Amino acid sequence: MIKLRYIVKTIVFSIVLLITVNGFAQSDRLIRAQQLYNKAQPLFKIKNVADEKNAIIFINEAKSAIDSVVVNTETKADYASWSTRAFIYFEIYKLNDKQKLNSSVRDTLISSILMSNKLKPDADYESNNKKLLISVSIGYYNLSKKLLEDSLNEKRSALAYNKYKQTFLIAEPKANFLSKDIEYYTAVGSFYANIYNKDNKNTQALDISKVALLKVLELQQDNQSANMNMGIMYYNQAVKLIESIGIDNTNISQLDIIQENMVKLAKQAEQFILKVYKVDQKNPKSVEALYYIYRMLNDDAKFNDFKNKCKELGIKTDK
Amino acid sequence: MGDVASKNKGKGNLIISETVGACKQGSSINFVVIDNKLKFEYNKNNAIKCGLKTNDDFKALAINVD
Repeated sequence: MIKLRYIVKTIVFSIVLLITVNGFAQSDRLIRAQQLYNKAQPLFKIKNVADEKNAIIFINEAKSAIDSVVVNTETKADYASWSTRAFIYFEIYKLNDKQKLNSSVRDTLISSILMSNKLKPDADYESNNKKLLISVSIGYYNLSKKLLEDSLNEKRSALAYNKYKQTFLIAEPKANFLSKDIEYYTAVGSFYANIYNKDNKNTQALDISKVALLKVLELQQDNQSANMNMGIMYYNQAVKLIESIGIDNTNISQLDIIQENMVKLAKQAEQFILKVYKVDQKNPKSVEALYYIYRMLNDDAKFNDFKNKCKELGIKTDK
Repeated sequence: MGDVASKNKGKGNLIISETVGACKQGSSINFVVIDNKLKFEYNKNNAIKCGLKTNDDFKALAINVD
């Protein structure tokens, strides 16, 4: 009986000891992960191959350590574990995934921040979590610009931009995106308007640009850049129609229809350009555009008026 | 305009103008702007006087055939 009691006592003690040791071990692993992260971080900044290699080794070890910390019952309820994980994953994300629209590393780091926030972190951790989220959201914004300008991938760029907003909203729930929306959609609109204006057969660029610029005008009616780009695109569409007329390939009975459409387009162009002109009557771009528009519309009085204005502003015209 | 028309009578020259009422003064084709669109008036008799014939499709496009 005494022997049995001794055995049970020993087993219970061993279990308690094991749990405690395991708990300590996991706490140690969290500290270890933080140490490895602290060792890796300055090495990444040095920008030399050998140091970067060591930094990668440290950060990968930190990742293994922290991944075990967040699944352990003792340490997974600690916001420090999740924040540390987010910071470690952030370094890995910067290394390999910054240019990727879909990145499991970035997803993990965001979900780790969310988990940390859920566990009510202290002010320091909360502030660092927020800074990290803002950095990730800015990464999405930069990616949206890169996808637009380097890859001409408007759809993926729009996805990255929406991700930027979603991520930023986690950090700043009351954020207002009005100015950023205007900035982004103006960039998309101008970018594709330039493509269309260089090649008026590229109707896909025309459509993308129009959608983006109309979004800008929805947000800010008097946006100069959007009005100017819209006007020039409509004018160029009209020019494209005129260019389509050929002696051999146009049925003479179609001329009236072509002219009708040309006038409609030129009048649409006029509406947008006039908004720019009204704000600044010495804006050379708008004066020049109106000169060509009135010439297209056979409006002699206005054409001559803008011809004189072009002269006054030193704008060279082709007639 | 009347002078130009009489000088070109029967010579096969097409007289084109862009002045209001020019067709009444001897022009065969007169361009006018209506609602920002370039249209033309056609005077068949003046064309015949110049010794010209025109296609019916062409006449159909004119806004004022005398």
